[in-house]
Amino acid sequence: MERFNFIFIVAGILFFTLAFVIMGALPLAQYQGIDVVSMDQIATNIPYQFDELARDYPEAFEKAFGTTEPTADAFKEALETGRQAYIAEACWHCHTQQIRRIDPNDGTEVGHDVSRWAPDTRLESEADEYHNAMNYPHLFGTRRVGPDLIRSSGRHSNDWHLAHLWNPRETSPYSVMPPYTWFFDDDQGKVPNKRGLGMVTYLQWLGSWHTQFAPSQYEDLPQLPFDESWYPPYVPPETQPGEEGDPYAEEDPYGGEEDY
Amino acid sequence: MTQTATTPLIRPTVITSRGETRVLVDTTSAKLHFIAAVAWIGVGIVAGLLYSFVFLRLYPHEGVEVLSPGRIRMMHTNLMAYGFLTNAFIGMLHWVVPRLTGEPVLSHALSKLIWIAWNAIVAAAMWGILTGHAQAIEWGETPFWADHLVVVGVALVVINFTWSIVRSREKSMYVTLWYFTAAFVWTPLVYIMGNYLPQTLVPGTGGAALVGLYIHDLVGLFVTPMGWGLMYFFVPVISRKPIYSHAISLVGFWGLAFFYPLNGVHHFLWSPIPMFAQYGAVISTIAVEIVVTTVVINFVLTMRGEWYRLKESIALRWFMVGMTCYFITCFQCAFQTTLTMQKVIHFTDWVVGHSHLVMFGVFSFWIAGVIEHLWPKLTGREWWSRRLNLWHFWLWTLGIALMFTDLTIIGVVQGLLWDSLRPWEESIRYSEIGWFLRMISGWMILIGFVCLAINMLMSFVSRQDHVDTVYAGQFPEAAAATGVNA
Ligand code: HEC
Ligand code: HEM
Ligand code: HEM
Ligand SMILES: [Fe+2]
Repeated sequence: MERFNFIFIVAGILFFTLAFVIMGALPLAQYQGIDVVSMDQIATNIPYQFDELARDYPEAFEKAFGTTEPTADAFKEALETGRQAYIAEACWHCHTQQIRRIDPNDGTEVGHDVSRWAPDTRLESEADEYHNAMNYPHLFGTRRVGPDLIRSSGRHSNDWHLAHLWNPRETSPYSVMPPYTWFFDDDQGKVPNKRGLGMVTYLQWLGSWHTQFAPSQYEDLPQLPFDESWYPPYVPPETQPGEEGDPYAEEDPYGGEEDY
Repeated sequence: MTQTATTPLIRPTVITSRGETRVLVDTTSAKLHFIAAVAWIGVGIVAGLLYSFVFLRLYPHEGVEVLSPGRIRMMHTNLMAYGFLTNAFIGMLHWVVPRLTGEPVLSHALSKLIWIAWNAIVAAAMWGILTGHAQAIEWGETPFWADHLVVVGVALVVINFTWSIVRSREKSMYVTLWYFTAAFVWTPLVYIMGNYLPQTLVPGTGGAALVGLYIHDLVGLFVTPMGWGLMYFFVPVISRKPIYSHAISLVGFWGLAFFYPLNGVHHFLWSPIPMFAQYGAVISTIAVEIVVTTVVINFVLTMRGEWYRLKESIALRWFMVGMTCYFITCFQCAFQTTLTMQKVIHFTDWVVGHSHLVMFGVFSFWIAGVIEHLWPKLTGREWWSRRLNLWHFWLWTLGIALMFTDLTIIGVVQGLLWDSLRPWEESIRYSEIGWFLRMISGWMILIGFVCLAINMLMSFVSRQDHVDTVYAGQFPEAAAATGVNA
């Protein structure tokens, strides 16, 4: 009996380790040598929406961060607060933060994830986007009830976000997203508290390293019935991939050595 | 085999495999764990039902911070894993392990301590989640400070039971114990890997690979071996036939041990995780699927000639409906793990359907069967009402059937709508009917649960003695299960 036991214990540890190496350590090895981007480095590139928050909500801003200036320290604190609230409310159980590199062989030029969530750059998520201090742990998510958020920077204005967090159905009539009234200090949804400001900062930061939609692009769309206004701003390219004049021919993420 | 020395059914002292006279089975601990399991699943089901209201814009507590829907969702899944499944598994370990090894656990006092500690940890973790201290790791949303306590709790459980396995002088080790021993090794490793590394050492994509491994290993290296161990014990005991094929049991165990951990990355297919890991995960997922199917077949063949017993034994019915759900899962997996299907169904309600089919339709059903079988033996009281048990059975069976078909269908609808680049809100509007039906199935499951709870309580109160006609005297379960003397 003792002998049998021993087999199961040793085999158990062995197989676990094998899987850990293949499924965990090997993918990890790819990022060896790449330094993890620190909070300080992140704060060297503050999205303009943070300045707007400081300008538009001076009292709330000062109460939250002890200053009226959109400094790097205030930004770091806001990001941390926003991320923590994002985790505490499990936003990541309804929103993903990854644009999948779906194979484009389904007729479109890029997979539908890229067409929908990165209509401007048409770039899928890359590993280095997550290699920073804001990703302990990562927030990829495994369920999409609402839109992907990894490129959400600039997709909406600050005020839109605050109105939306206060009552999602005000901005998106058919939304099933819950209201987050405790991100505000008053009972009108006009005065965001620290978590509210932090959350908006966080949402405006996501993707700011990569791309920014034209400010408030969504609000500029003509007011059509909700159906129409929700079509994503993806415009099919006039040229076919590979044709002369194709703007993406150079950086086709699926061409070249990539073997998938 | 062990010999009964005294007759009271509940706490027989026996000659252990080492020739000492001891109380073999700690029925009190087993009973307490089953009670806790049933209490937690009650809370968990209410949480799931509450969360399903969010999708219908009917959430009753909008604006109440501690009842924020996201927190309720984390409570739902974590209560199922740590409150319900874990308690039920420990309860059944108390019943099964000493019987198979002929040795009691390390200490019956420790068992009581574990019961108190574990349930205190679960309660504290739920409080932490509700007050906003959750951790962003799927299946590990319990606050980071609670993780340290969980590790200690798991270590105590492992020591308590491994003791009995290691001390045993039985000549052969039955399949059930293979699975339990392996699970005792895996569970602490998996838990530590998943909860500590991505949180502290490995950011971003590398961490995601580890979390994928964790999501997968927690169901594959903890829940699955526990569940299969349970089936390898109780199916032969109740149907009174040995397992059909020892060879298939071997294939099942070693196949699971080798391939299952290699599946981790299938939870993040098409993500920025390197493609070689994704291909590897897909291939080993398909291998697992074949292994799992053979095990299901092993059990179905064990039942050959014994199917008439389903008329009498509700426990066997639970087991076999669970087997059916398992078979459906394997069939479904063949599709859902391919990269082609993943383009469409990843992130949709299809996956939620899969989760409920396996977590609820398979493992919860098997536990329900065990409770059905053991509750009279643990309390010494007959079931108060067979009819209520039947209601419980049918409500849950029809509930999961409705929930699974419904979620699978709207999952595909959602995926295709996203693929067609239609506006996001359109996919929400098309899902409404499906989310409504899910809520209905939730009510069925909740009412089924109430039947179970009332029945357990009433049989305890009603004081109608349970007469164990089948197993008077010795422990033929073990004999039947191991195939000796069946
Ligand atoms: C029950 C699921 C659910 C939860 C939980 C949830 N959301 Fe949403 N969210 C949605 C849905 C559905 C939409 C799309 C409709 C809308 O705009 O409200 C959405 C939309 C959004 C948008 C607009 C995205 C865009 O591109 O237009 C943002 C930003 C957002 N949510 C942030 C959050 C944050 C921050 C949290 C956590 C505090 C959160 N959500 C929690 C479901 C959810
Ligand atoms: C043994 C019992 C099983 C349990 C308890 C289980 C449970 C789960 C759960 C809870 C999820 C959802 C995870 C999430 O959303 O993050 C999931 C996803 C998945 N499961 Fe299972 N599963 C089991 C067996 C299997 C089997 C046998 C296979 C295939 C062979 C499989 C393949 C998958 C895949 C591919 C996903 C990911 C789907 C996606 O995210 O698109 N599972 N499983
Ligand atoms: C009344 C019955 C139940 C209802 C109404 C219900 C409802 C829900 C809902 C609404 C979700 C979230 C899905 C989403 O994010 O889109 C969920 C997730 C989940 N539930 Fe339940 N549930 C019920 C019972 C159970 C039971 C009994 C179990 C297991 C023992 C269970 C296990 C899970 C799991 C594992 C998930 C995570 C799914 C995933 O991430 O893919 N549920 N449930
Ligand atoms: Fe898995």
